[in-house]
Amino acid sequence: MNQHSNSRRRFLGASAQTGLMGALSALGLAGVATPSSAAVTDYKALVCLYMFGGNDGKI
Amino acid sequence: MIVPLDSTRYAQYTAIRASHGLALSSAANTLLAARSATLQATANPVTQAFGFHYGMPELDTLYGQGQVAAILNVGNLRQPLSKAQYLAGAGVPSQLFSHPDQTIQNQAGTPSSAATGWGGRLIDVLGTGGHLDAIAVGAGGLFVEGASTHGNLLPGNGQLDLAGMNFWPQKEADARRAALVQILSAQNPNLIAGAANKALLNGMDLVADLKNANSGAPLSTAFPGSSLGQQLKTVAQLIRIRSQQGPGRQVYFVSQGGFDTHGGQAYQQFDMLRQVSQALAAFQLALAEIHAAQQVTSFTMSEFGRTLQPNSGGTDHAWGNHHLVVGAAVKGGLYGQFPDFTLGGKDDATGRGAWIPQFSNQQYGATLGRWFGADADMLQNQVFKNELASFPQADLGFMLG
Repeated sequence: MNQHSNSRRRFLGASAQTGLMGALSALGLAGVATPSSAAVTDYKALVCLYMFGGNDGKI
Repeated sequence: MIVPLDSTRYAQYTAIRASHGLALSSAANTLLAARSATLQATANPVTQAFGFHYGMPELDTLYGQGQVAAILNVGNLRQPLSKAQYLAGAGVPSQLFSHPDQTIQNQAGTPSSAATGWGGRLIDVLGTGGHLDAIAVGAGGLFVEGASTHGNLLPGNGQLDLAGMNFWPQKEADARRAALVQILSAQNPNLIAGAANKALLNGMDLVADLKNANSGAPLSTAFPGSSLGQQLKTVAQLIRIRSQQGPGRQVYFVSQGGFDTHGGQAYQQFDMLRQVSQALAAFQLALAEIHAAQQVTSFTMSEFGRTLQPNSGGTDHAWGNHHLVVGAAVKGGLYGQFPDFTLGGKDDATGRGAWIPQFSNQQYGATLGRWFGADADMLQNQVFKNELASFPQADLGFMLG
């Protein structure tokens, strides 16, 4: 019984440190104290063009 | 994308790459007409001759108009790194040369594994929390995920409707949709279910916006039929919607696959760079059409560069790489220096021409982030998670204003 609880506790602890926190963060749930958005007075956009595979920029 | 034409490096390049038909030359019409630039962001601002790959005439033209900056030998770093330091192993990012690890680290903008990307974190500090803030088109990307920002993904196949939501009579379909929205909007005590519901609602709002954009005045700019061309057409439509709503910030992720050229590189690289060049050129025309040219900047990213030394017909995983920044707000030119092309030389980590980057992804991203409106404190502490201060310049200077 004790051993069982202990391993469950350890599992939960490990989950919180690794995979589960990653999942929560990906869902926007991580308890991060994000400051209120800085006021912006204009419109801007950044467009990332990702080259999957590792582009040979040397050629 | 860019080949240096100073006599020393071009001779080395030709000798190393010619044996497998991978050396570009003006004689073979595989290199566009030579250009020259005074190197920026370096203590050695010499005049440098160079040429663009023959698949990129549109970007070469945009370069001539001052709208393209080439950032030389930039990549994943924890700190400025000499070859001796690299060989000693201290301060080297983990899992270099690995596709999945370097894809994550480059989009994270940090030299270690992460659950968020630097684009999403920029929206964390500058966004308004709307469904148009962070959008990936085609393939998903960590780049648009933040701590409080959840990126929307638009698949490239055009199928955006929820199943079972369009039927006759229309008022019954409308009632079903209203009920679904009500369910999804309800407070949910389960955090994960609540976040999933919000993600679905955001997606439904985004699809509604996109349909309105398509039924309104179409863009007159013609985009190439390539996947990347169509992705950037969608981005231009969404930018038109959002830019007309007033102040705000957006990050986008578009992509093209196929760059892992271990073989067949000579023709594959031409085909892919041609698609990139044509799609970006059309995108710039569309931005002018919707009066957003000054407000939108595009930039390339990849998990790593490739070895200067070929295998048989292709090249292998390497490290530092050249990247392009395109837009009317860009201060065109070359930034940094070309590395030493000597195999096993001072800039080569492995002996096969895997360059140790001179600039970090954090410096590259922070220059864009500063233009985007993030201040020094946001960039250092939140966007680049304390991984920026190790580098001497937080702004490489390639953005105007």
